[in-house]
Parts: sequence; C-alpha cells; structure tokens
Amino acid sequence: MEFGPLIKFYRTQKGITQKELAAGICSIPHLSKIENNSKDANGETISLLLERLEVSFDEMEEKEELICSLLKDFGEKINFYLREDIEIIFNRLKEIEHVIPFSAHMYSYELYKYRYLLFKGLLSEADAQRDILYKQKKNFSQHEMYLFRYYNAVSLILKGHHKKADEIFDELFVETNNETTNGELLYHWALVKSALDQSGHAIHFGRLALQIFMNQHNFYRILHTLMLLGISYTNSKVYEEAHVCFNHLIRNAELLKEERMLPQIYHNMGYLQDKMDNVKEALTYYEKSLSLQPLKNQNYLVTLYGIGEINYKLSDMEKAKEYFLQVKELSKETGIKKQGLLADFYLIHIDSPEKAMKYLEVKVIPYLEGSKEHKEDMIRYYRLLSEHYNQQEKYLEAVNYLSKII
Amino acid sequence: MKKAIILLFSLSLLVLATPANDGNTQNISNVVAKVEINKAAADPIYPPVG
Repeated sequence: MEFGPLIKFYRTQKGITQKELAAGICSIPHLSKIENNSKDANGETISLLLERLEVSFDEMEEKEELICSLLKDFGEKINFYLREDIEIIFNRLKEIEHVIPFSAHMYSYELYKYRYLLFKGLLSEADAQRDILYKQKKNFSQHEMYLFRYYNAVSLILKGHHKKADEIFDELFVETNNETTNGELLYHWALVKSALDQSGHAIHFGRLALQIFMNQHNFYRILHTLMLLGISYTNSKVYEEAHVCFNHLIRNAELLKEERMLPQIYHNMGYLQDKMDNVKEALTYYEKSLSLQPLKNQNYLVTLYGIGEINYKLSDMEKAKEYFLQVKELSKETGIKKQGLLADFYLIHIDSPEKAMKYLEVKVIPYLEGSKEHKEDMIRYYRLLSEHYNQQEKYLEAVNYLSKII
Repeated sequence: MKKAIILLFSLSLLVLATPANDGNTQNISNVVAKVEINKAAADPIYPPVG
C-alpha cells in the first residue's frame, strides 16, 4: 500500500492542514516528503498519522489483501461466465474503490473495470475506460499490457471488427510462444475465425478451448464452445459432428436448466437442418426456438426470418408473406437492416421476380458487401444475378457477377 | 491485366456454352435460379462473447 498518498488523500478529505496533522508526530517538511512518497517513513510514524486521521493501519493492510483477492476472484468469475457473481464482486470492489489507487493493484483494477464494461456490452463506457488506460500503458507490467491488448481485441469483436481482432490474437499467440492455456482467449479467437468465414480454424481453436473448459469444469463456457463448434461444423458441411454438438447441447442445457440458451440452441439446430435441406425439421426447430424467445430482439429477428424463408421454400407464400412482413417491421424497430432488406427482397420476388432482382442489385448486394457478409452467402446472390442477366442475354453483366464468385 | 484475361475467358466460355436462347435453356436457367433462391440464407445465432 502506498501510505504517503493515502495519508494525503484522507488529510485533504477531512480538511486538516499539514501543520495540524504533523503536530507532535513529525515535522511538516517530513510529512510533506512522506505524502509525496519521496521519503520512506517508519511504521510507527505512519501508524500515528493514520490514527490521527481515524484510519486503521491494520485495516488498510487488510484492504490491500482484500483488493488482491477480489480482483483474482473477479478474473475467475469472468472466465467462468458467472454473471451474478461478477456483479457482486464488482460492487464490493466499488465500495473500496477510493483506496485502490493507493494499492499495488491500481492498473489491474482499471483493466478489470474495462473487462467488466465489455462483459456488460457497455461499449461507449468501455471506450472511455480504454482511453484512460491507453494514457497509462507505459506504466503497465508485461502481464497488464497483455490484458490490455486482449481486452482491446474483445472490444473489437463486440464492434464487429473481426479482422483487427484476429491480428491481435495472432500477435498474442506468437508472443506467448503458442503456449497459451487460456481457454477464454482461444474461445474468443474461435469466435473471430468463425465470423471471418474460417471455419477450419474456428474448429481448431474451439476444440482447444473446449478441452481446457472441460478440465476446469467451466460449464457455461463448455456450452458456449459447443454451440460455436456446432455452427462451425455446419458451415464446414461436417453435418454429423454439428448434429452431435447440438444434441449434446440440448441435453445439457435442459439438465442445467439453462433456459436462456435453449432457444438459441434450437435455432442453430434449425440452421443445421436448413443447410442439410431437411426443410420441415428446420421449420420445427425454428418455431420451437421462436416460441421460447420472450424478447423481440436481434435473435428473435434472425429466427423469424428463418421461418419466413422456410415457408417460402415450402411454397406457402401466404405464411412466408406474413413472416417477412413481421421481419420488416421488427427490422425497422431494432435498426437491424440485413434481415429487413432480405425480407423485402422475398416480398417483391413473390409478386415480381424481375423487380426483385433489381432490388437485390441496387439495395441488398451493396449493403451485404459493405457489411462483409460470409462469402458463401454473397456467392449465392451473385449467382442469382448472373443467372438473371444470362437469361436476359446481358452477358457482360452476367460475367461481371460470375467474376465476383471467382 | 490478370482480371481482364479472366473476364474475357469467362465471357467467351459463357457465350460458347450458351447456344440459342431457346425454351430449353430458359428452363435450365429458371431451375438454377430456383435452386439458388431456395438455398438457406438464414443466419445462426452465435454464443455470447462475454
């Protein structure tokens, strides 16, 4: 504990002058030097000064230990994704926040605060915290610097800047001589790889993370990693493995009464069945997922759109229309454009395929290209337009879209 | 330059592979378009970043 600045803090807070505090204990210049940390004071002088300030020396020593153990706990709870515990520990740290700057854990605390804000998805507050930390980064230890860069990568994932996050993970991995045993980092890197359409890498890092989480009995992260692996296997067309992951998930989520995850698992099982062309099974899972989603948020929108698309495939145009209209409305409410644009495309296509192609070219494709959609999805739309122009004998346009596929 | 060659090559292939625009070709194109439009495009739901 840095007692000098701590004494200054409490003296100022209580409105006591240096003369009043030093009286009978030490000289004023001596106190001044102690407060500025330019002179080491003996334990007895410190005790007397603290006593006059009505601050207990032993209590301060205990607080130092408490800060250390709370921070350690906090890191663990984050890794284990224990939401309620994270809140409790963070609130306890908040209660003693005023003494943390005088402890040896000042930077660790500020770093964990950054992590906490990211965990809560409070991105603008997290950015402000990142800026504060950035100014202090030359004072960081090697481990603190590692945490700072890692959390910056997590922030980039949350903002959808996966390429930049990938570069940071790559550097961190090389710097730690590939010996990283941090399941959390591997899980995050797998998420990034999956978003970048590199399913093979996502499976590799996901499996490494899963092994670590299983050794730690880290149940929530096991479920999350299994879900990510299921999606990555689906995208790699390794359907059998994906099926195993999702079945495992359904069993365990039900067992653990993890009801928050069930709708997502059912949706992803529907996604798998959809990719396998098991249209009716896909519809059943999507509907099951939707019925369990209480909030009309992004996940709800994604499932709703999936149901609309399946009904379209089944040529049930009335139902498809009904769902796509709901998607359009929710897309406007939530400001999530992708599904809204695609629903519009299908709605136009039901009445006029010709007009729908124009809409695809002018509205949908520029948006999807801008938001760096998965290559496979883009190929599908390029093919559609290429075929459309081919039919119209507009070969130059047709080749233009074909060349985008190459 | 490389892209221009690929484009030219693709164009010639396309023209060669496309005979007269008879009813049959039209049907094939329609089938391809139908297959493409019916491909699954829904997104998965990713687990939380945390």
